[in-house]
Amino acid sequence: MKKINPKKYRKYSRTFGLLLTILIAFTLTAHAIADEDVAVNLDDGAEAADFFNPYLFARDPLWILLPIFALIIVGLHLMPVPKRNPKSKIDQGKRFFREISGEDKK
Amino acid sequence: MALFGVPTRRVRIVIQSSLFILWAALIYSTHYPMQSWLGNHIPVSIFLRIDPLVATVIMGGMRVGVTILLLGLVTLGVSLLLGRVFCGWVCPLGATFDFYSWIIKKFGVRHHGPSPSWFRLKYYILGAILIFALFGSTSPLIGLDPVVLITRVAAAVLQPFGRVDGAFHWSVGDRPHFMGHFIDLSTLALFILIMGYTTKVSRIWCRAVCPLGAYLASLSRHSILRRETDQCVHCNICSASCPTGAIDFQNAEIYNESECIKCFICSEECPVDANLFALRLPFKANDKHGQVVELDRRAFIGTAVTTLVAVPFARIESGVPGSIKKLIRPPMSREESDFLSSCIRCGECMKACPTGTLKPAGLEHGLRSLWTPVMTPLEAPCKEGCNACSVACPTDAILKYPIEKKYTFKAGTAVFNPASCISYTEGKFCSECVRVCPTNAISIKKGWEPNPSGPQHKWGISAAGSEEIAPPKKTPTRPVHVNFDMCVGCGACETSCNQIVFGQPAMVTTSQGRAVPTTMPKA
Repeated sequence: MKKINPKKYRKYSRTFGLLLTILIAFTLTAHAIADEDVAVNLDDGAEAADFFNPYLFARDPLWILLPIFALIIVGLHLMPVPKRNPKSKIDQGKRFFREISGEDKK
Repeated sequence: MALFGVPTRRVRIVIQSSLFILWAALIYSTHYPMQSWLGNHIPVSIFLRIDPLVATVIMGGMRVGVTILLLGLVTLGVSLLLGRVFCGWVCPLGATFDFYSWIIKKFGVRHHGPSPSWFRLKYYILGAILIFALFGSTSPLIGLDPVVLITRVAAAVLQPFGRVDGAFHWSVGDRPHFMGHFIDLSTLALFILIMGYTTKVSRIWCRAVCPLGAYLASLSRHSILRRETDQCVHCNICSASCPTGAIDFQNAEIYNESECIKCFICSEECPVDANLFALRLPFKANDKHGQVVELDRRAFIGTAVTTLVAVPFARIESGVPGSIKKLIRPPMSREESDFLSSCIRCGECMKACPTGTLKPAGLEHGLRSLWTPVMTPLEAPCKEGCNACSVACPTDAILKYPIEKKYTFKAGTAVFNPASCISYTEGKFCSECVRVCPTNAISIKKGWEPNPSGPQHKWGISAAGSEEIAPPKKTPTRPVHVNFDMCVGCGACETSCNQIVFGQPAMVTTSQGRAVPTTMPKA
């Protein structure tokens, strides 16, 4: 059974492997970039309290686009998709029997 | 199919196992003082930070760019390109399911099969979470995110078992009059239910409930890593071995790209090497071998309408009078509405808390606070010199701060009730609250004090808290009031109070004055 591969498909996906390696390496190291400005600078002592306040944040309404984008992506699943009849080998067999029995001509 | 000469499935198992071990090690390192070697090199909450659903909901809901969550957008890009590789290769809950499958397979249990008819439920859950985010809220449904869920299982179910410094109780809902470490029963019940159903249908959570899976499935509809089956002999071995039921059982050449988690089991199981995965230009969603998920419009619109109605209801605080006063958040938490928008109920802060004062809220503070961290000073105080919860928080709901600046802002304020204090009602010397206060916020009125070399102290009892009765016509030294500007709401006084009636201390910590700058002496 293992020898049924007349077209000699490539068994090695080097591109995928390379992509995956890069992605995993990036994910495990990229936190350093993201962490740079995480810590709140309160080292200025009591003066820090004057400008730092947990109530105040720089908000940008454009961030709402993220959930909107996600909703649109999910909404794509609402679009009707034309059904197709896959021409599998089973279907081909059925068609063959229909042809020889003359059902298609009727 | 092979990757660098090794069968891809085996490569996946090695990577998935390694990442799961990494996740478990990071969870283990999430404890005070947060200075483990691993924690110093990789953030303990890295798996939550690369979760794209968390990034979308928190940043979109708060309308704030949270830098540490931007990694989640990388995962979005990966899913657009390669499909649901996150589910099959990275997700720790997915790894748990695969490991469980491997174990029950040894006992002859076969649980791979077609998905149930309600597998679209996950899309509706995702829709509800996103609509909440549009209105600036984080739905408690975010607690169903797989990374959040398994992290909470570790924090609120396994962690209390691991504690050796006290008893633990099973609890859900109201809990202020219990002592000990609580095992969140709702999380445990949910996890047992999931694993029970997984015995019947493999990865049932990923197939039908997981909102992150739905998000990634939506994105992977046009991914470039596609399954090819030109040499298929229709033995259906791949259909029967697919853990997510992505391959059609009538015709094995047809598969659902959105449900495929790129586990490559079909590729290895195929007896004729007909299941190959190749990088191709973006396909149409329904190419000749593609099957797509079609949502029911009525159900989707029904979900949207229900969520719109639910948004204001979910914001209702609680029907319990005064519960908001006992809703004490960890120090340096964001303002309450922002906190609720940014807290994902993962339980990392509770896992990190060395005293166990942080507990998951039940419904005592309303649905909107479900599973969020609440300080329970009656049981334990917030430890002085500790910022573990802020370091562990993956979304900055608890802002990062240096330890020496811990008391820059108040978490709450203690209120003194003389009617419950033994120095007033029984004339006993106590002053334990004064002794433990880290900011000297409790004013006292000097009076009689016991002899430090008295008999009781020889037993190892300190003068404060010895409960010696003052001589007749003398009043003991006792607290008078709590200085609002200096109290930081750590709850140490409440924990240490010698309560006359159990559960009713004289010092009661409240959320009053939260995030107001304190005027405590400089460090």
